[in-house]
Amino acid sequence: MAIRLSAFRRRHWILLALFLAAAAASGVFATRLVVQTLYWSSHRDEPIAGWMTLGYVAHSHRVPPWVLRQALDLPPDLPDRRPLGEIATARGVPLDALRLRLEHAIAAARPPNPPPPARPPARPPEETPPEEMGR
Amino acid sequence: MSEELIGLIGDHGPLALFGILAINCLGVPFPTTLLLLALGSFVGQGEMAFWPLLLWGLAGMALGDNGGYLLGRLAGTAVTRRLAGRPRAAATIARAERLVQRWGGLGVFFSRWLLSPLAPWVNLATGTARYPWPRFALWELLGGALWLGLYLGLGMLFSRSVHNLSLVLGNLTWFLIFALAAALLAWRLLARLRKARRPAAKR
Repeated sequence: MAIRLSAFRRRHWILLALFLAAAAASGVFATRLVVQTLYWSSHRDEPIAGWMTLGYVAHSHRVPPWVLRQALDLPPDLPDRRPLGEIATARGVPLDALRLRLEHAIAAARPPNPPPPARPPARPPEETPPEEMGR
Repeated sequence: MSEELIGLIGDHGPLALFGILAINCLGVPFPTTLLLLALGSFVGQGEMAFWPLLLWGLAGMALGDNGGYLLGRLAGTAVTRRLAGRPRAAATIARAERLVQRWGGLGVFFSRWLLSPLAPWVNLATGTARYPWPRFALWELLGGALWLGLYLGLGMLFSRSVHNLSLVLGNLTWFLIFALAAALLAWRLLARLRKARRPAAKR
């Protein structure tokens, strides 16, 4: 039996190697699947990424969107659909700079701090930078 | 890349999804899982409308997928013509064609939504093996609608967790692909093992 099995292995080693590789890969992805799911269940806040719009970051972190627009010196009343990466490129600053400002604003809008109002308070108009008005 | 794609759709609306998916279905690996989930989240937040995304997306997929099928079909005709004088190669191709005729519909359907990284290859294979085009087009449309509806819907449902959900779904998809490959290879190995044992049992 042992001799026959070794002959079998020699003849079909490619098939066996492919099977082992596929089984190992499926094991790796199964592990990652479990790890990611567990991570998700314990980390509700998503790390801010370049594809996210301000609206998405606000929705995901449960803060009013105007708070984040204000944190980036954008007009608080005007929705901005650009991904954060695009805003960073337009300003010539690294994404991390925007991320830091947003994280500060999110922390300031959450307990133990008092919740901000759903709409921005009335502000004098000269505080909105002119180059951002078009969006 | 996700950033540019989402920026494109923000600027041009659902029409951009048409172009992105048409190119994607020809085999350019765009991060479509994250893209569709993010669009679903925007729909959930009331920033975009569901049906234009679904219909433009479906039209883009149909263009790209049927284009891939057509490429395979043209290549298949050329190869068959060249191998006409070589009976062994022709027999191998005929066997592959029978396999595709039998499993092509299921392959097209499941590679649209459950095993989506395989879709461009399935397009080429079904075209090359001359799987009937009306059936290809029907399964493509059904599977594509399911994929778009499912991913946009999941994005709407988990609209605050698109990033995490895309990681989970990506891992799930690749797990299923490799598990399926392992199962098929194990099945082939067992079939050969049984074949190898049979003469010994007679002795």
